[in-house]
Amino acid sequence: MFHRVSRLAGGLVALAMGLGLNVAGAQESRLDTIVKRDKVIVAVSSTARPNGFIDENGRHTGFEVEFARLMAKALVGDPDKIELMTTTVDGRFPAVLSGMADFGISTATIYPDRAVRLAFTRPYIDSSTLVVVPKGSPIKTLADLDNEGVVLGSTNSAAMVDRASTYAPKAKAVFFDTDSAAALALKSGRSTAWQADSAAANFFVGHNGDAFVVLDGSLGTINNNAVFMKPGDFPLWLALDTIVREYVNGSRYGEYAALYRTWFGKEPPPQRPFNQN
Amino acid sequence: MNLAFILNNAPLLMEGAAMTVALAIGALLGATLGGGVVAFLRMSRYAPLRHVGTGFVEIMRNTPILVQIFVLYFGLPTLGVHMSAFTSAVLAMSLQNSAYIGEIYRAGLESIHPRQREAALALGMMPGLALRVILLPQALRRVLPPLGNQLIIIVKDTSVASTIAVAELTQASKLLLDRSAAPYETFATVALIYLAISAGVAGVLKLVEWRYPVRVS
Amino acid sequence: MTSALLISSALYLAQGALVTVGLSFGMIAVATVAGMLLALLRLYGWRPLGLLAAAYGLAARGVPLLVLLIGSYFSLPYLGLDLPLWLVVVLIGGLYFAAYAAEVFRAALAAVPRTQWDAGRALGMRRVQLFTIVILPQARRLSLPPFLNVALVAVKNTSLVSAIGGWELVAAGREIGERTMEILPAYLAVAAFYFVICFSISRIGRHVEKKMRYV
Repeated sequence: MFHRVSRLAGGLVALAMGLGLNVAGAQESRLDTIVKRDKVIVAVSSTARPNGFIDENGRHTGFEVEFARLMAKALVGDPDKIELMTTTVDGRFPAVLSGMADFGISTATIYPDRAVRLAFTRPYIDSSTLVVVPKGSPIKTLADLDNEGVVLGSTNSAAMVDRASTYAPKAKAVFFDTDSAAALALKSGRSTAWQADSAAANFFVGHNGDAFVVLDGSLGTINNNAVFMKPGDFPLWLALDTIVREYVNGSRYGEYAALYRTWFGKEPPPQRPFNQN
Repeated sequence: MNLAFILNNAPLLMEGAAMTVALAIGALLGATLGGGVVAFLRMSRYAPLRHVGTGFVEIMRNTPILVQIFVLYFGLPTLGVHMSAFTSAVLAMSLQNSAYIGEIYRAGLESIHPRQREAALALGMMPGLALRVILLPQALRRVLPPLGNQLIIIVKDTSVASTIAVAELTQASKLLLDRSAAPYETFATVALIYLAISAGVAGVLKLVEWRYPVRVS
Repeated sequence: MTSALLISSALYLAQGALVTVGLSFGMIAVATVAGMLLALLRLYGWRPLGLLAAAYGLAARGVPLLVLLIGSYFSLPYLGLDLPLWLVVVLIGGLYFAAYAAEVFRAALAAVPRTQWDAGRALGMRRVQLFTIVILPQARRLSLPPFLNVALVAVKNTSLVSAIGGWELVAAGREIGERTMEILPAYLAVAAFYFVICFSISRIGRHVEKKMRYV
């Protein structure tokens, strides 16, 4: 009974959103559409330095945006045959679930809860989390975070929220919409520590002279960032996953490594241990 | 569409909704009272007061609340003023909306012909009495629908508090969306909760409107 | 920041401001026309239609615009429609603010005393004639300050389009702020641009209001 009611209610809500209709029947894969269109449409961010942002010359670039161009190169043979669909975090998943974009490369971490509704390729990069504190702060190590009186700021994402409650349950955790707001909180004294993706943390510390320091070690586990797409389209998923693999540790590793060096100033993880049989 | 998923996360959403209601109540009170002050200043017979009122309205109404809330929350500590995120949010919403509501009050009062006031005074009424029994009841009728608009806008403006880390409904929904990648379920539920809160505000106003009908015969 | 960078940032924001102005005008135009229709239905329309208009007003005003934009724009592929983003924003945003505008117009129209209708009819005027010549000019004056409020809220709500792939003033400011990790100066610059846009609109409004004092 409950299930029927819930299904009915769910259906009504879907209808109210105008999304209850699912195009039924056998469909051609999105992969064919992309090839026929001779262009890929990728959901990306423009406010996540160094992954996707607008540079000083007004060009939309960054590690993820350039990686999206590499994906376009593999899919339709030209890195410029690409349409970037720029959305905020609110819009990135609807962009691919609705079919407006073919897939997304937008700082999305693979998370088990997400895998139910969204298809991920294998990761194109690892993400680790660093903690930034003002110089001279009583917080000297990651272990010091778990104290009353500590205010730990970050963006409002599932991974950040979970890390805060796992590693600093006694601290007060505050969550902002963007990295820059979380950084501003640290600067203005609204928070006493800031956990952020390593790239953003390093950029901020480098940008602010020696007023802030990064604590040794990374907070919590290493996570995987991956290309995401609407589930259910196996040919497209297989193509994307294969291409990602070829860049990250296969035949196109050289291009990937060059991209990695450009944006992060260091070598990417090695291609793979060579197995001599 | 998966309702069980929403039910599992109901506590998170409900806590957020409770915070949204608290923010809304604070800002509704602040803005309806502040609006009175603004209207008083704007209609004052002393030019300096009028200018203060006009300046306030122009600055508050013509800049986004997102920026105002950032200045209050991140800017004031550098001047040594520390307010909690909740207080900053309520204050920012009250300030901006008292500009809007002040203009609504003023439009209502000024729409009543000045001769009505003159007539009341000529009949020997004190200015306060004339305001209370002649001017305000008429103005109220004209003011109610736009006031209702603004109060509902306040309910939805509370979402801006999430930008300064107040754990209200929008922040909760963004977290849920980020965790689950279920935008449609999340957004539909959040829309219904906002609708319920707004309907509550609209309901109270309907009661007032029933007492002072907008349409006079 | 070097001065060259400052200038290029200002130009970038100015481009965003132009988009904001365009979207705002579209939205306000749709909201004005549709809002007037809704108000007329509620006051003078056939009663079931009036109730429908009232229900629309309550529902549209109660739901966050962000949700409506995301819900409608990303439903287009399911409906087999291919509309440009700006058109969706202008239509959905316009119909959304129409619900607010309708309340403003309703209050203003209803505030014109009934006796004026009677007097007009006694003079042998037809309903439409009476409405456009006698009632509307008076209501217009009453509705102006609260309508200006709605218009200014609409201008500031255009910033929500960045969730669905649109770009405007706030998005431009956020892009600069995230690039430099200095969000407060970027937002203050955005506020300055908004001030210019909104102040111009309220000046026009004030000017019209003064001209129409005490009809």
